[in-house]
Amino acid sequence: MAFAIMSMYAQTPKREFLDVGDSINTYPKVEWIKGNAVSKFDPSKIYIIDLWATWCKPCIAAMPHFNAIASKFKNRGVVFIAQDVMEDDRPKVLDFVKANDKMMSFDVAFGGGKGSDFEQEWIKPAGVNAIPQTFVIKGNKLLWQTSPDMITEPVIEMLIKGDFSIEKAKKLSAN
Amino acid sequence: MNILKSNIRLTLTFGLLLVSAAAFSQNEFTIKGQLSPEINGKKILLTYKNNGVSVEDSTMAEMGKFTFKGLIGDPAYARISVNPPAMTTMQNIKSLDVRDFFIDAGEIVITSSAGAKTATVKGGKTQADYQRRFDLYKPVQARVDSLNNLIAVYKESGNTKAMDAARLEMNAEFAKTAKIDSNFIRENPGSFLSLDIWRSKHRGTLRSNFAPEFQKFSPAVRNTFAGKEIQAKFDLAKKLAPGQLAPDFKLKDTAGREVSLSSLRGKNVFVCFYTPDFMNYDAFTFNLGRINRALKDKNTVMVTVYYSYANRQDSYWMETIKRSNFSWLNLNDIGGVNDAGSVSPTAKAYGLTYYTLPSALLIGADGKILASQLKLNDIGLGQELAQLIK
Repeated sequence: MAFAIMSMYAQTPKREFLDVGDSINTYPKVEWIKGNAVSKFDPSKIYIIDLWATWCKPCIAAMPHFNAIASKFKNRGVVFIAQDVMEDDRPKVLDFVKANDKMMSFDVAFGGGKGSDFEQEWIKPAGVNAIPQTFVIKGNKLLWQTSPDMITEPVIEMLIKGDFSIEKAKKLSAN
Repeated sequence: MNILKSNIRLTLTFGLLLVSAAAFSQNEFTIKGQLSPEINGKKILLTYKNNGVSVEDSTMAEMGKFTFKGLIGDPAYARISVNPPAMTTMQNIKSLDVRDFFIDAGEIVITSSAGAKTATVKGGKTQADYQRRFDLYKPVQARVDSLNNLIAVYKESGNTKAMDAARLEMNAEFAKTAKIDSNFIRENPGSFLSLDIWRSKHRGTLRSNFAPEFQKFSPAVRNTFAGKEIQAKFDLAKKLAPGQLAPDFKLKDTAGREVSLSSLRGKNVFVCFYTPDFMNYDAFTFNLGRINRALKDKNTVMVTVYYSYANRQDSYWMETIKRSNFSWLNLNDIGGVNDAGSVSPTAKAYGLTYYTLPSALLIGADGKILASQLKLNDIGLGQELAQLIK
């Protein structure tokens, strides 16, 4: 039994780094508290993952923008995930999501604080030391690590069209 | 009249800077003070910077009366302190009796029926401008003071919603000061105070896109010591622009061997000059790791050059490399930068000071600069640099 556990562990080493351009196939273990659960990334879909927390005022300030974009694109193969991070108080997160239901018409997951799978597999390898931060994944690749204000309608159109580049996206968001 | 022998302490010790500062014309100034006669036999401390060189002078007040005489180049932001404590602490900060003002050449008169804090200062043009700016700030200051009181009340009663709203308003008030300053600069291009405010907002590396703003100052203002220092920074930025040959340097690695930039010719070089332990240092080191991973297949040598603070042992360099995971070529230029600014040839060639560090460039295999003035906190920098290398 002990051998079986060890060999399982050996087959799933912790991710050391998560950089733009890296392959990413699976979503860390989180608790899905709203919407559809994601365990494996569908290569045909675009994922916009926004890291937030109830204590993070800029994250909450960015939510109406995130919500408006999500409402517009969620039926066009784009999955929007609000990933709660860097906090342990699960009831507080549940209460927040319940109280702000209309502002959060996307998938919501609770990741947990220090030592959580999300922290080990995502926060640390991607060097996230402040939130909000937004990750864009397409074709099982991390395309962009950015902030939610950079995710604009023209940027998502570019992602759908398939000619995304960070340089072009930055220019589009600046306009 | 000074009854104590003036104690002028030049806190910057580098002769070169003193010589260059002194090379600019120096004019006499006199400060005549009359505070409350109750301030008797107490020390009056005057501090200011004469063309970048810190100066301290002190005297003893006789029935509130004191005088200072000295030489000044550019108009200088100054402070007088009555009976200053040996050290400023959080406990005694509110009880300090200080007054800030500007020294212009000529006579400055400081009068008050009480202490320095409430004194009226009459001097030259820069002081008049400083007072005008102070008056423009008054409504904002009044609102900030009342918001501070409100926040304390809300904190006591646990009213977090009202406290957040007050803090938001406070941020809006602070934003007004930036607007006041930018208007002041625009409306007073011939004022040295305008230049002083402008340079305080541009202490780091000067990007060439700020040159048109600087050109709007009057020729007389641009021709001051401070103006010429700023022009020199713009000139240096041109020398370090993409397409220019990167200045060579020769520095020691961790084994004590000298390594020159030119010896790395044939490979691209990402070079980052840094001091450790600034705010967000961990994010900085993580991003260097990211850049290293992004450039690892791009025929690139990663180089970090360490600069120290005066109070650090040299062994701190090795500790820094270890805990920062700098697993690439590490060089040092300890002593190359100090409070006076750039000291070593490398620091001078690359315009390195405590204000501009960390600073990085990507240099091509031919020794020419591919990118400079890099934003080292940009998560996507590694990817952008990788695209620059053919």
